[in-house]
Amino acid sequence: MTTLDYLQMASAHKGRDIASYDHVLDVNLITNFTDEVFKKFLFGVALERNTFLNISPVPYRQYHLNLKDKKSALWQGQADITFILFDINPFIKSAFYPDSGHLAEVMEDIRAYSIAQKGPVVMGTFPSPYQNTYGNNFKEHPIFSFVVEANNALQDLSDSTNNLYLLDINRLFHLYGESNARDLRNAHAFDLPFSNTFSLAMAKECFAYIQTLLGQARKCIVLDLDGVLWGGIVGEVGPLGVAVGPEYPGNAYHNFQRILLEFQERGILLAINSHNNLQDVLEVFQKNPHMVLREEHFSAIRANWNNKAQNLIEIAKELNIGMDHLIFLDDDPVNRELVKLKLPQVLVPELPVFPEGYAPQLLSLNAFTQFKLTEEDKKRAKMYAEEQKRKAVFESVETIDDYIDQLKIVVAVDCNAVSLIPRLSQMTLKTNQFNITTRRYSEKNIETYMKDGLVFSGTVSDKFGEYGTTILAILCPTDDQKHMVLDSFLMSCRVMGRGIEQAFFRYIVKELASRGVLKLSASFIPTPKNHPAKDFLPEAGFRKETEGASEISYSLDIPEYLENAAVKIHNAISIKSRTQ
Amino acid sequence: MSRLTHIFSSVLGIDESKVTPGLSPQNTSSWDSLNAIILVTEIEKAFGISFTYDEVMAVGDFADVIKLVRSKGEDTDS
Repeated sequence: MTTLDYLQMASAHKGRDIASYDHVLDVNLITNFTDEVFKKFLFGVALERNTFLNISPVPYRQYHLNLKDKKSALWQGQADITFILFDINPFIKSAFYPDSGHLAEVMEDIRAYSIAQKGPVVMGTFPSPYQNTYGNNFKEHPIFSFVVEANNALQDLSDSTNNLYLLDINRLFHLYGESNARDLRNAHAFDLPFSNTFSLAMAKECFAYIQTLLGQARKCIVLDLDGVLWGGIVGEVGPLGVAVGPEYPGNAYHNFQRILLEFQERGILLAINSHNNLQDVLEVFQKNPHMVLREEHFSAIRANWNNKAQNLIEIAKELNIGMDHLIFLDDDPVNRELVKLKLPQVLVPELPVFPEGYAPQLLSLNAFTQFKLTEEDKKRAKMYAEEQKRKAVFESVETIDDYIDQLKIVVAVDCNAVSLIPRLSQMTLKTNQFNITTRRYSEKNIETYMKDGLVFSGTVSDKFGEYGTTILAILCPTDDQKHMVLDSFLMSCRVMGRGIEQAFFRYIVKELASRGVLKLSASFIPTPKNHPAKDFLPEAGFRKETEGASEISYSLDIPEYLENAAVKIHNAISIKSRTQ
Repeated sequence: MSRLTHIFSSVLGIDESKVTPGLSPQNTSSWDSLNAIILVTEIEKAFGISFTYDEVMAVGDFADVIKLVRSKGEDTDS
């Protein structure tokens, strides 16, 4: 899609019923330049994903006033997400440079604004001006060091403010080149500093954050093998004959594998979907010394002669993730078209004809944006490998109960653990299946719940290893001290099917009882994905109060629950308090 | 359809059949100052040409745009 396609989309939406969009979000936009063109692109990019954005920009050149004035429309409205983009242009005089006082002041205002916002605030870094009068000594020009220091200060601000995240505009500037990103005529004539192409690029980066907020970031790269991971057809040339190694084009495949390994190490899963004999494929992993990726790096392998769409369905099921979390890379356009047609939720990018283009293509998709990388992300692939060992146990036992007994599960429970806030927010953003209300919360939201209510989380492990922090319950107070509301109860898919939820829940109820709480309300809000959580509340002993199409309300009498042993809890699951 | 027609139809959000020589800011509400800027930059990009400020300000309707692009030696029929 070109700039024109997005502009056309943005102008063609008029007259459409707002209810026909999958998502509608309120967006605040704060800039120090004419942002109408950027706004139009952001709007168009969202429409491509059937998402409608109500974008409220601060009036032209009033960012400072609006950030300061708590009565301004900016402060009064609660946006789902806020974007702040400031430009420092070496060719044009600005309030930010050379006087650094303005930036210091604005940063304090941004901190205050971010703390007050429920939704995340994403701020662009300043582009480093490489074209300046100092030529090759550009680094000595005061504006260059100013920008470097300003960006360091922004990083500190973001690190110390829970709700504030950075968008690395400098990275985009490198990608497009400073002269392609800037439009000096429009900068002077209309205070519009960026080219249309670059405005679109920024809009795509911003929308990637919105997708992450909506739980749409991709989690797994599914790979074809011949022509993707190596050159040549393994069934014809054998495990040592495929092109992967020191010479071109083998080195291009080799390096693509290195990039994929980096993705795997940051928490993106890898899987294989290939038309090959499994034995041929495993031999490449075992025998070819130039392979970077080995069998253990893949969380799911489908090397067979089945339809590739069917394989993808199985992979998603095996990994317990949605089809909309998959990216599928295949060099065969016929397979790509088949998958696009059968499984429109899977992201299927075009692949360039040369292998050295695969990695840049994958990176350009903006599909893996995360507000923060957490410890869980880095451990994820290891955890899936441990899962394979559990599967072996599962297949060897007679009943689910025997299986759970053998796992020796331990749940370490934290209550209001501030250090876990980034992970807990991430869980609400990413968990779609076992989630009774699917409410998405920013770090700021979680912090507020910890102040006003109780946030219980469980970090799960068993004899094979750790699952990380994977279960969460948020409880809100009511006017009546004896009555609380279970606002959210969710569990990561990787610990589903082990009876952990009921054991964890019983622990929480006991805690509540010790605090004098007698009644708990909860609701189930059905979505296309949260069917696995549907029976949780009734199974825990909640009574149905009212049932509407969009929500079922329940309540639980706590003394009755504790007396009644009807809810089966696995004795083999050990629940321990960590912070209390 | 010519590149120019496509640009005008996309940016202004109007049907290609409406992009006629008489199309102007006076008879097209979406041809506002913002879209005028976008039109200029998209035409420059598509044809690899650039306009001076005076040239842009002298444009009164779509016919003027065709004339201006032709004056830069570009083929407006493709």
